[in-house]
Amino acid sequence: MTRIVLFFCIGYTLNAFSQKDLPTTDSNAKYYLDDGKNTDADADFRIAATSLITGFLDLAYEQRINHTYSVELGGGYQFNKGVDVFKLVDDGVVSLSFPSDEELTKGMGFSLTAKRYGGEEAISQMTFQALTYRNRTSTFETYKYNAQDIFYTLGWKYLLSNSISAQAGFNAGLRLSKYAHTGTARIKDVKKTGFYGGFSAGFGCYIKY
Amino acid sequence: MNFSKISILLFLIIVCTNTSLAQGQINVQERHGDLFEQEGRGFIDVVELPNGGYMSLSTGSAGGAFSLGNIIRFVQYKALHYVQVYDKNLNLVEQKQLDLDHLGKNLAFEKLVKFQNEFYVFSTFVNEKNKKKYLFYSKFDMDKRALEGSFIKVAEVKDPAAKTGYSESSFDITLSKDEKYMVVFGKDAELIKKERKSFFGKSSKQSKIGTHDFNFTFWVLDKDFEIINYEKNYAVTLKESSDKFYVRDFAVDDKGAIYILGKNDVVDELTRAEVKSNKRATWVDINKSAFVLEKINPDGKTEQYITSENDLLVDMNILFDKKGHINLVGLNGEQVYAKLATTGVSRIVLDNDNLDEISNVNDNFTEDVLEHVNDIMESEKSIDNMRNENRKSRIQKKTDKKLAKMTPEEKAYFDIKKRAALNVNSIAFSGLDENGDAMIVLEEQHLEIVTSSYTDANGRTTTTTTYYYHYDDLIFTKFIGDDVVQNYYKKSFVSINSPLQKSMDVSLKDGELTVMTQGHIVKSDGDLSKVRDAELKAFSRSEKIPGMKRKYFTYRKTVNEDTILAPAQNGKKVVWYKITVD
Repeated sequence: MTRIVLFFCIGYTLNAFSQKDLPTTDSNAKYYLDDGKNTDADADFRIAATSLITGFLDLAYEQRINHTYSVELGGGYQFNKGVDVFKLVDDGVVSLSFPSDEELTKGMGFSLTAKRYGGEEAISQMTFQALTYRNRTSTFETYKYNAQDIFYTLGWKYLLSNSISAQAGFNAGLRLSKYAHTGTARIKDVKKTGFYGGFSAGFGCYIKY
Repeated sequence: MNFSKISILLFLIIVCTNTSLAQGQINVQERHGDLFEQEGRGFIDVVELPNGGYMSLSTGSAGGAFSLGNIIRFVQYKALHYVQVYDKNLNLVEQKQLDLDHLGKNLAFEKLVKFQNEFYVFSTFVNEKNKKKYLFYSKFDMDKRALEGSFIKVAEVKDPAAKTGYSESSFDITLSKDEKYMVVFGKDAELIKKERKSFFGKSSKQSKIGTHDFNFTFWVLDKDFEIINYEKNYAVTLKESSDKFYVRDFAVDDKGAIYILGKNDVVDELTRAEVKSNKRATWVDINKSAFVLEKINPDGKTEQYITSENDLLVDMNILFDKKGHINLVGLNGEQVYAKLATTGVSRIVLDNDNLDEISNVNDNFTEDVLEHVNDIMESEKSIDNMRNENRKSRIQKKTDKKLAKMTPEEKAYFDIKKRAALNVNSIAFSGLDENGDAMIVLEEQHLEIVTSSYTDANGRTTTTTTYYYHYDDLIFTKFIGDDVVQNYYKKSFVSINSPLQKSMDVSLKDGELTVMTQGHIVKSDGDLSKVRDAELKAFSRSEKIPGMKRKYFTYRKTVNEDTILAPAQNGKKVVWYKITVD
């Protein structure tokens, strides 16, 4: 009896070894496509690194509308006078009435952007075109400086590591600025219109709801 | 002779002349569809649809780049694919983007395959986390012109995508002749071995032989996409030999068995021009140019056939005849120092079950063929036929002087022209006709590199290197039983600085070959006794298309035995040509 059982056991084992272990096709694509990367983000919360040069801490929230368009809302707090090249140019003209060496007392701003991405890749890894309206007001000891920028951006969005976003872009547009005296002296407001442009970059975090 | 007799005679002469002219011509019809603006930039495939219409695939990209030297560089691109559907006259019916995104990931297009009368799109995805590249298939819905259902994973290979210094991983998909089985070949990304550098930075000269890892993985799928045969990291090796072989050709038969034709790495070493330029001292190693055919049955059992060591083979293809026998059609070679020159053709027929040799037919190129395809022989012949004896003897004296100065190696290269087609290194086309006769088409190809220097008035020297890719004469060979017939077709075409994606299209019908070259249709008779040609109007500049200033042909495909499709493009404007040969 033992011999018969042993014979069958050996036979079964040999048969099992002779069978090839064949893989199968798998419809669970999700498992194979999951690389941990947030490539299909719904939103992006970002800090504008280049705004720090102008003294503003700009934070932006970008919301995807569909795979081509997104909208972005931004708010900024000015912590320092910074270096705003376009203001410095204007300052040179109005320096007698609005001295540029005054201390900054307060600064706030907001922005609204509409973005269009190529290749239906909104909002994570693609080139984009954007139209932005930005309003910033800086309050000094005796006057307020208000800049309204309307500009076009040609930019690139990146996914660094799994969820860290990066954005870079070249801007060009119009600046409508206004110097308004806040003191008692009767100094007329000065309005200026000029070019606004340059390079902007920021880092953030992609969010998937 | 009266007037009526003269009329009858004239009539007969005209009829006879027309008949003889018609016999010598090829009936080529060239039609084109309407002009349209394509999405994408270039075409990658075109297929015939069951309703008689056609469907093409084009590729383009979204995104852009900006760079300022090497410091600032912004790049973001995404490949896009489009499907165009045409009626039977190649007029555009619909154009649509093929969406290959799934679960927020971009999949890369791999291939469009017609399997079991359905179209399937194969796509790949590199998963950096898993360090693997996956192959998926999806059914293509012809009515919706879109992918239907889910993405199903078929195969995977290793791919450490983020790491540099690795070769690209790849898949290759092919079908059995009866379209019952599909085989997927996978090649892992391999670490590119760095050349050892000596103290002074110069790389030490090392032969590549034996250093390559030729392991590969394959999956054989049946009509239900069930994997019926699979081997991981398979390597073709010979018993008691350290020689390694890489896959030159592969096929799957009607029983799901896979055939791998391995080519000894040494053969490639020989055919590379660099070997000659490096003056490799180890040229004596050239007695190893064997090809090995390995059959792997679905149950895992293997059979092996190795070509004779005495036969030096330059290239080889696998074909299956109606009986299921394996036909190995190859190019015979002769060693001339570091080069393996192609001297003839061979056909080995093997039994499908045990790979026993049924027949082995070899033949050298005929004198007539060599005289016409080797330009140097043609010029020598023209010297021989010279009537001016003084000039003839002057040239002959010069040649004799040159010969006297030649080294033994140079003399060997000079002499081989009488036995070998000098610029043939691979099989351009091979096929079996309805009678089971094998046909091989060879094309002379060579690269000419011209470096020229120019010094301007300021003493600045500019050096320019121009690459001339030559696509010259064709050699036709046919194995009829134990006989081999041959013929040739003279042509010359040069592409400057970029090689042609495809230099010719070949189809085989009723034992006759039809070849589409750069501007001509070449047709052979069943026994290769006659080779005729016809100039294609489509490729001519004089053939104008309203709305299109110039025409550029970058893609074409033989869609069936007698129809070739080729798009004429100028920017985004496209017109598809349908060239039919009767």
